[in-house]
Amino acid sequence: MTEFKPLHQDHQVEVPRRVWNQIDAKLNEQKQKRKFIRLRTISAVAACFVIAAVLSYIKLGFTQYNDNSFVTTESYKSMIFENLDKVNDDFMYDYSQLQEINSLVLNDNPSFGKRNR
Amino acid sequence: MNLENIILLCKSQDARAQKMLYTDYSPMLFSVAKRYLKNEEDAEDALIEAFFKIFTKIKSFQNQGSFEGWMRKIVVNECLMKLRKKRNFTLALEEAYDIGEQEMITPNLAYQDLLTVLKNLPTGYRTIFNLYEIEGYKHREIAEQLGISINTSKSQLILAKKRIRELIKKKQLAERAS
Repeated sequence: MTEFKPLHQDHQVEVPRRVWNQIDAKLNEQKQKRKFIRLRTISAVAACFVIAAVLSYIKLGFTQYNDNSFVTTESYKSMIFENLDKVNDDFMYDYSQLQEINSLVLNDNPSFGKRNR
Repeated sequence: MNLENIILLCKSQDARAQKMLYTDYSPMLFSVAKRYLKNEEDAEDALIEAFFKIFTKIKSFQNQGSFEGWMRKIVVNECLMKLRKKRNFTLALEEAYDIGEQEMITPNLAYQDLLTVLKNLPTGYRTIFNLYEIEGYKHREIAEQLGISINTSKSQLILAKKRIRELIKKKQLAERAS
């Protein structure tokens, strides 16, 4: 069947030098391409991290601003009053004292604070 | 450095190992390409593409079977792809219709003579003769590879041998006359 095989299968011929040059050029081109793809992937991941960091920073900033500026819930109110109760400063009234004064004034003069028509 | 080490280094894209592998095997693989493709430039192109594939796909070689055989297969496939692209392959195959007797050709034909004879064969004859007689493919494998029937492969081989025999006779007559 394959009487030619042993005689011709392993025959060798001279290869022009340009063949290797072209293979080498192709391999280098592919290496460059791979490097570029790797670099692009790393850049994309880094960019995602930066965007995520910036977004989370902005969100965090807004949340802090909201927390400090507005008292919206009842729990916050009670927390503030509790804190006020605890303050024992010369320049501030005690909250219970304030309430007492308020009730005394209202009892003596119920129209206090209301406009006369 | 032995072949196993060269393969191992080539798997890690070592440029020196790649050059060594090329130096060792390119003369043999170029002769394979030249048997399939008439044009020297086409053979060079096929060899370039084949080596590029060898170096980029070498990780898929699992050290099972012969490495030389694996490389040879890549070169043959590259040559077949080139022939398919040129579209003269199917036209030559259509010439096959008459199946005669199995012709015997002398296997002692020198390489250069064989190359000259093969260059004068239609592409289909040449390809099947190369695949069957030199590479050792079976008709079933050739049929699968080329997308033809097993009978077509067989008839092409017989016709190819017949044509080779005629060409050798002509050559011998010409030599005697001169």
